[in-house]
Amino acid sequence: MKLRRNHFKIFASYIKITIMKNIYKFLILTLVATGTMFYSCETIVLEELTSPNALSPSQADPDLLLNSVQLAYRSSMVTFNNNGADTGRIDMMFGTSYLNRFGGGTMNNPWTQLYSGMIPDIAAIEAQNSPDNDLSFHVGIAKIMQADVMLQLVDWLGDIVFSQANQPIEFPTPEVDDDADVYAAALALLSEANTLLNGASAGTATDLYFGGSADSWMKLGNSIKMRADLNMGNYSSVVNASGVIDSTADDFEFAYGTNQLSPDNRHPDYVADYRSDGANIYNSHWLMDVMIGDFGDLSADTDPRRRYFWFRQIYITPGNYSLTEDTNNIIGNGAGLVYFINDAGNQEVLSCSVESVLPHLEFTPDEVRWCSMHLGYWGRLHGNARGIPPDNFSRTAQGVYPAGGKFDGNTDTWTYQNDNSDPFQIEIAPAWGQQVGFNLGGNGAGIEPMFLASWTDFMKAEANLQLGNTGAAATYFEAGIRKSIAKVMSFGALDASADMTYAPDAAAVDAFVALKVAEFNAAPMANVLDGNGFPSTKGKMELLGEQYFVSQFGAGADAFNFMRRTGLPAGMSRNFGALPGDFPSTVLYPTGEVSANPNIDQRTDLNTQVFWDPGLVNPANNQ
Amino acid sequence: MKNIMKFLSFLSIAVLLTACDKNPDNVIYTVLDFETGAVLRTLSVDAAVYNSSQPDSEFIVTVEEQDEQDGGLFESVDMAVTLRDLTPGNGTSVVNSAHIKTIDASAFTTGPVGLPRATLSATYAEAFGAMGLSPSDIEPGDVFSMELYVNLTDGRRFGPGDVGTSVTGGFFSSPFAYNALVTCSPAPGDYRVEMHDSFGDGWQTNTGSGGDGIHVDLDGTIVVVGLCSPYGGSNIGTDMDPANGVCTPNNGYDGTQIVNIPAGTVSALWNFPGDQYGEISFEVYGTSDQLLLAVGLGEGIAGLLPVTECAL
Repeated sequence: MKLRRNHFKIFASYIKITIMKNIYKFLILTLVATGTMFYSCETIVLEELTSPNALSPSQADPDLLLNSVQLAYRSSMVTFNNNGADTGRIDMMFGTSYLNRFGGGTMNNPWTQLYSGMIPDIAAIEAQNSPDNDLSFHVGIAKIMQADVMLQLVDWLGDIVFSQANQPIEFPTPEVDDDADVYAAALALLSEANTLLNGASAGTATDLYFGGSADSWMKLGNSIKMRADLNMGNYSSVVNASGVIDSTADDFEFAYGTNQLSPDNRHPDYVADYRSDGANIYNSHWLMDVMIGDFGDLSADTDPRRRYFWFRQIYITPGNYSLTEDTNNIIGNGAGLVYFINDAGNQEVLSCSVESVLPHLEFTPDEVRWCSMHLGYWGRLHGNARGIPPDNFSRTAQGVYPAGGKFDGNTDTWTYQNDNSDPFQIEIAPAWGQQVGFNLGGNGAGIEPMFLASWTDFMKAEANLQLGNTGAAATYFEAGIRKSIAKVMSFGALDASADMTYAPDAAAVDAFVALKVAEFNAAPMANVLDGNGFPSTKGKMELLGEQYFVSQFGAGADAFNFMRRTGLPAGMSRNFGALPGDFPSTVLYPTGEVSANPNIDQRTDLNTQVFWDPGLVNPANNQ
Repeated sequence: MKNIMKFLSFLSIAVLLTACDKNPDNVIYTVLDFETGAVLRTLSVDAAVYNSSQPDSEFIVTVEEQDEQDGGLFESVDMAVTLRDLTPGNGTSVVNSAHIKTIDASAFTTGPVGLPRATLSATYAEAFGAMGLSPSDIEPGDVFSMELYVNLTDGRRFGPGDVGTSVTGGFFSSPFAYNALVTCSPAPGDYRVEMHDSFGDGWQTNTGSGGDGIHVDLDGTIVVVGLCSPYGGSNIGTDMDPANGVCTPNNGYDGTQIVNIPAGTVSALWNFPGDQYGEISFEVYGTSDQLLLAVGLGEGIAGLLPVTECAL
């Protein structure tokens, strides 16, 4: 520094003296002087190969590495779930073009998590695993998670890199492997993990999912393998799969907390919906339609789970109907009669409510759900990407399952309250009293479902149905519905302040399950389709798909697989846009990888099929 | 120092000027380089039901054209039809955007907001003729998707494939496509109804001892069909009361009745009142004695019966 200051002084006096006689001379001299300075500063030791900013792998704490793997896994699963739920109309999907919706950003997150997070972390843990420092549990559960992400990346992308991955010296730009080979490699990882976990103890590891139970992890490994078998059509393996997650106590899920800051560990959907400025998520009209029933609690087919899934903020949606009970005989036709209330529509909060039905949805079942739903349910149809009106305090929010929000405790038949001056003008809006807000309900202590026992039942039902075992399929179908309902209803306790008057009781649940099972037993094997491709008579697999998708609410990853395995459900909503393009068989490769890796060519469409995809055409996706 | 400051100022201005250079490769110029299309705003859909028995039945829509020059680029509108075959029973026919006719801009008049507007129509004969199908390919319940394409003088053309949902609704209200449902008029002639009762006491429909018969509504004229019921009580005064004289006398088990549909009848609605005890069955035969509908024992549900024989 001393030298530099001296130089500067010399320059300063030189400038003063010469008063800029020749600017070029001055500049050249400056260049020479600075060049000398840089030259004199070259004292860097070029042989230093260990970064002083990062721990060397041998110094890393395997417990912390495992935490990182578990969080990377959760993050990947959230991506798979969100995208799967969008394809299956479990969640509402924005986008009238499938190619835009499922573009190069779709799988960026799991790709990054797997290749730059999980695989190097797992390698670092494995490097420290020795007889003296037994990390079998760490390595075992990490490999299960790695295998799951690999399998699901194949499900979404087809061929992905594996054999050349994470070897930057030999393969700086790795090539993809055949998807079937990656599947096989992932399944090998699962069996390797099972061997490692057999009798392993968690030791100092923090297990965010199963509290350190190696047995539970082994069940998860077997369940993931079962799902892969189902994808590949190995139905007898699925039917005979044992040691899988088949009791709700073993459910594999990530539990969110109630902490608002540092870190905010509440359920992301809760964070989005329970705010002082209202709800921000639209729910899927198709799933609502499957579950609500035409007259809510007055319909035998109303699903006991709907009040747990969704929290209505209003009693009627513009352009649709609701019900009112004339308890006090104001209308005069008799006390206790239930009437329809029809809403005229409101362009400000729901512009489509004053428009005629979209031509491509007219004369189809989507005709009644394309814009609005009945009984105050307020979401959007699959694909509806119109602008967002000020409806944050009227659209239906996430409920208590799985987001940890509010239980919907309001009636479907509000008491008729006016003076009969205008028969349809009732003043229940102020009395409705249900709106989202900060810190309401379960405070976000929900879950991200990742593999539930009910899904095992539905998978076994599906495999049995594929094999023609309708009796066994019906048994699993019923078990799946029952487990799902019981789990969902157990979340009611999260919302301590909820009015549970309208919560379904055991008799209502039994009646609903009996109805669904009778429907399933009476149904033909295959759908009978009408001219629009909607089922005029629903087949067994269609009914199974509907119930499986309902049980996937809050998750949804396997919905995309189910649709490709079976080509169903055909009764799902069509896209809001008339020309959405081809429905994805796979999605585009992550943009970041493609731009950095010349050995992977980006796709130009979504039609590449995964090796196990039988290529069935679902009329719901074939607009 | 004065000069060097000047020099630096010039230098920085030069740098600034370079930064302002319009490089056409910059993304922003691609974004700003947009063009406007054209819409056909729907003012009203005046008729959207075709009657395949009446070739002159019309699809009518009133639209307003709007383009970048408020109608200045408007050349013509093409009408086309795409078949949505919703009745797979007679096979599935495929027709995509068959051209019906072109309406020149001169047929449009300037409306109250200064934009050209017109009422466009196409008869069933025109739409059906454009498809090149045989009459048996079309059944009531099929939908003709009537498509409009607007042609501009600069050669551009916009149609249903060019619009997203923000254009089809709301302000632009321009779907370029409308559904016209196909119906038909009944073939005139004698329809034979064979009626049965498994218990042997005539029909008890919507009351315990008799009730209404099947009401065939021929453009408002009601023809009653039913097997007389021998009971009194709630039967009195109803269609199935033999004293009323509208039902068919019978042996308790079977009876036949002819329903004549006169030529020129536009619509015939067959309305079944219900089946009190699950004893009723019946068949309806058409004008050439072909079976149109068979309702098995106890299968009848109150409501409209799907009895269809179209006049050609």
